[in-house]
Amino acid sequence: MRQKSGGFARLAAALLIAVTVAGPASPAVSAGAGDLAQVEEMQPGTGRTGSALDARKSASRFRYLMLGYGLIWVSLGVYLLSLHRGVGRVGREIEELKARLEESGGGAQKRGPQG
Amino acid sequence: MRPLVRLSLPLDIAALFLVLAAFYMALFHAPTERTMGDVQRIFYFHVPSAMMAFLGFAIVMGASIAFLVNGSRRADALAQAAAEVGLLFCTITLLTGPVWARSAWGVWWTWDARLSTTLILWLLYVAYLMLRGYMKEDLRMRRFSAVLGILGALDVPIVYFSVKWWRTQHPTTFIMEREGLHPAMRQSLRVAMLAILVLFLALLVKRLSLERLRAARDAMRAAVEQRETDAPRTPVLDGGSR
Repeated sequence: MRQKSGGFARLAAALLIAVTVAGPASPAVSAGAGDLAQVEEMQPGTGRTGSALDARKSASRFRYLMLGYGLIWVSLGVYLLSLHRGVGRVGREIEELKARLEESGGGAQKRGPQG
Repeated sequence: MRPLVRLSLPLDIAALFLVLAAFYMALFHAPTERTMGDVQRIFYFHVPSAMMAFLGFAIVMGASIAFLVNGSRRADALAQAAAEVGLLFCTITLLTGPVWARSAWGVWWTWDARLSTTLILWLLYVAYLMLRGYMKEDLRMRRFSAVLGILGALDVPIVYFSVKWWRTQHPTTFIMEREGLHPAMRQSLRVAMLAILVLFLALLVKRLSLERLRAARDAMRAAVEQRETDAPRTPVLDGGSR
């Protein structure tokens, strides 16, 4: 259980890095070819999507998008880590209690956390 | 609770694949929105996260009522787990919202009805978890937290309908009224909804497993304390090992 949770936390951290690093390089990449109705209009004759100001605006919006997605991954990662730590702490306490029970001549309370 | 624990690994795997698919669809499949640009892609996770927060708090309400009626420890554990996972998704909603707002409205935060009621909802469940964390774990604490869990969930419909009841800056779009969406946007939203739902269930099962471990620890601790208090009175029964 502890290993599974830890693996999931590590995977979430790796995914956060992967999504942040390997996300689309520019806003234009993220627009599908068949989505003409929704994508920004091309300026006639230039073949470019708007002015330099528009490009700056697009870059800024893309940074906000990455910030938003980054916050999602960080929140999930932090929560998974806290769950993993909680499971680890309770697992250790159970081991200690088991040892104390055995020390005091237990036998009736052999039922472990999985029981 | 045990059949749920058996679901843990399949749910983890399904959640991972679906979340990856949802991110792919939000980034590459859904077209760029004309007025807001790329930042609108936050929508595919912002809206499902808000829905999962509502679902979590609705579960808290149902489980808290069940606890007050039956006194069931399982219902109490479910309420606590759902509150924690619901709060996680509410946090994601409150974190991604301002990022989107900064780009779309030019401000990180405004005391708009939807935003304010969502913040109140978040604070109510932070208080719920603090109550559970700091009070002595007994029947009184469970009853208090069940009442607070029910009261907190009453804020959910207020948050949901706030955009209809008051004049707000937040979009007034409702789940049932998304016919105007581009088909690729609708598909991406559906996949994201499913992904976040499966992720919610996976986290809920994990949190319930932790609660089960805690219950086992408490039972064991009680047994150890019982044995240690009994031990001096009946030293001969221990076989004279000490």
